[in-house]
Amino acid sequence: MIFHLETGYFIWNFLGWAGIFLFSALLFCFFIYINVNKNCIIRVKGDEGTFIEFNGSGSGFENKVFLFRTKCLAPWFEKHFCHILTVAVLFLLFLTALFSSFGVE
Amino acid sequence: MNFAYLFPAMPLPVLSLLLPLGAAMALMFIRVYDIWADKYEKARFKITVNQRPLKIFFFILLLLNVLITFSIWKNYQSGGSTFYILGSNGWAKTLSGDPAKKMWTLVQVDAFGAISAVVMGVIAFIAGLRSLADKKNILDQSKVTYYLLTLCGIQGIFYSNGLLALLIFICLSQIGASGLFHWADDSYDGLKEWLWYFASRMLIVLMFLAGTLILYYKYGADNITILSTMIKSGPPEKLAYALLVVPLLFLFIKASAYVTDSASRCFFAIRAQAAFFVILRIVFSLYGLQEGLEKIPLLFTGIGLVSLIAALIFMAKENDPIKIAESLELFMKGFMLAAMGISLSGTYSAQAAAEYGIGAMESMVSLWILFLPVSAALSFICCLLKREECGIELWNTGGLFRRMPFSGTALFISVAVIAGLPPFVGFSAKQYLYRSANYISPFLTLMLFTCSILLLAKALFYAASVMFGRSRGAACENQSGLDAKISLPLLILFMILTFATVAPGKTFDLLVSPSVHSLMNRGQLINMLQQEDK
Repeated sequence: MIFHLETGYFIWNFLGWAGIFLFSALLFCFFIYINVNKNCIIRVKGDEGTFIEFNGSGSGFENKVFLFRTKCLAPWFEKHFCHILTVAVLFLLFLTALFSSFGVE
Repeated sequence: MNFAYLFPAMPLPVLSLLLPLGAAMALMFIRVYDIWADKYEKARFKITVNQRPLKIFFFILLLLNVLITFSIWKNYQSGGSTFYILGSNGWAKTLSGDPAKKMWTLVQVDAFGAISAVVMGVIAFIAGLRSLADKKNILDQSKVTYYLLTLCGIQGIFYSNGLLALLIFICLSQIGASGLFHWADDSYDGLKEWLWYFASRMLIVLMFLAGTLILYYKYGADNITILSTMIKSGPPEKLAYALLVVPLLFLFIKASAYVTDSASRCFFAIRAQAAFFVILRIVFSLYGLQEGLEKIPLLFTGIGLVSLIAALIFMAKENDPIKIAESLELFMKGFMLAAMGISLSGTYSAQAAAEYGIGAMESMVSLWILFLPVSAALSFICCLLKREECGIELWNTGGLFRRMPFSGTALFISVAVIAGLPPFVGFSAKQYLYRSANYISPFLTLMLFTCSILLLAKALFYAASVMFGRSRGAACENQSGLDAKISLPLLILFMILTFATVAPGKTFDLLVSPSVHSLMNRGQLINMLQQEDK
């Protein structure tokens, strides 16, 4: 029972938490490993140690998302009136949700 | 009313509002007076505020603010929810803010407001510390004035229980925060951007005013506690709902323009937090479960999901650390909105509330409390990475972990907290949310979980690239000690986060649970008093 602690809301199992912690650490390392190896990252061993090539070409999907952002979204966000437009869109959304009978059973 | 009564036996919440307001007004007066003396060449009448006294003054005010808000919170814990009323005989403390007595219910302190004010006060103090040490963005008289106005406005929001009072404090915080934003160049384009910015802020204030007036003319009251006992579902009330919620929702999602000053970014984050506070007050405390609002939970969840996806899109191939910080903040906001939608949906029936409603609400409040410290940490680190040294911005120089190990570690931990990676503090909140979302739809849980994983992968890649990546340009030879610039504020922030990580039960007991109870206590106090009268 030494591994259990009760704090009102939670009952903590220290052994369980140690497991979760190790799992998280492994997950963390796994993501770093995937990122380092997959995104056109080059390992260079030299006097300065091991470095990662900064911002490789990125995956195909990421490139498509980036294109979508720059071609479709960015022009709108660069407009000065985009704040007022956003407020207007949100207001319309709320009015539709509040006053329309669509979607109510 | 005799205004002389305003000062004797002044309650602490009022003092906490008047202190920054008075200081800001004094500084503003000196500034206007100096401009006048310059214009009419009366140099001998000019008042010069030196940098050092100004910094000491600012530091003392922020420290006092922390002490006062902490003291209010401690008093609240032993004293219960209280209204402070200014009558003809001075200040009085009561349990009910009845407008029929023609008294001014100026301030209300409940658990949610008191906790919010403490969290905000601590973050404002930390931001102030960073601002005092910042040699690139020098703290001047105008900046201190705007910081203090924002502080007063936001504190007022936390201690207000009337819609009109909220409007006044929203205006004050707008003046303060808008003062921190000014166009960088004097070009026509810059002026146009500035004018559109102010037009949008005016629209926000006018919308909130219109919503307040609709409710005031229909029910003759603006006090949220009293209104909540009378409000019925009808077209004017629904229109008022949209007019009150939409401007704050916009302020929450789009809290600031592109700012590279970390202290100013913290104050913008504080304003976003305050905007969400007002939304919660209106949605949970004022309206609650009215007929005709059944689709609102879905709308909030939908906006939350859109924010999550938008945050991921904005992070695609992004290198600018400030924009990365903005995307991470948007991600946190998306989760908060989704949690709000789920909690609202979970409060429509007793069974739903027992199964997942309260859990979702606790998740929402803990995400909301977590937002400010994490956002402040991101601001400090990302603004430091944006700093230009020897003609190149720091994030470009690569291999930064050797030169700033503390900030590097803090960046990785912040990412883990935002993504809800166990055992960090964000995990408990996310765990509750996934469980609650599963009651609505497993697909929703899957969406939320996938977004978290994608963000974790992308943000870790970015952090790894900046901290361990190869240089893109020639770095300065002597760039050691970069950590020293932000180590103290970061240390305080991580002491808070570590406490919350190590003792989540205590954090829930102290902060989350009282806030949820306070939000749910919609008009019950007034009903109880009315029943006792009968």
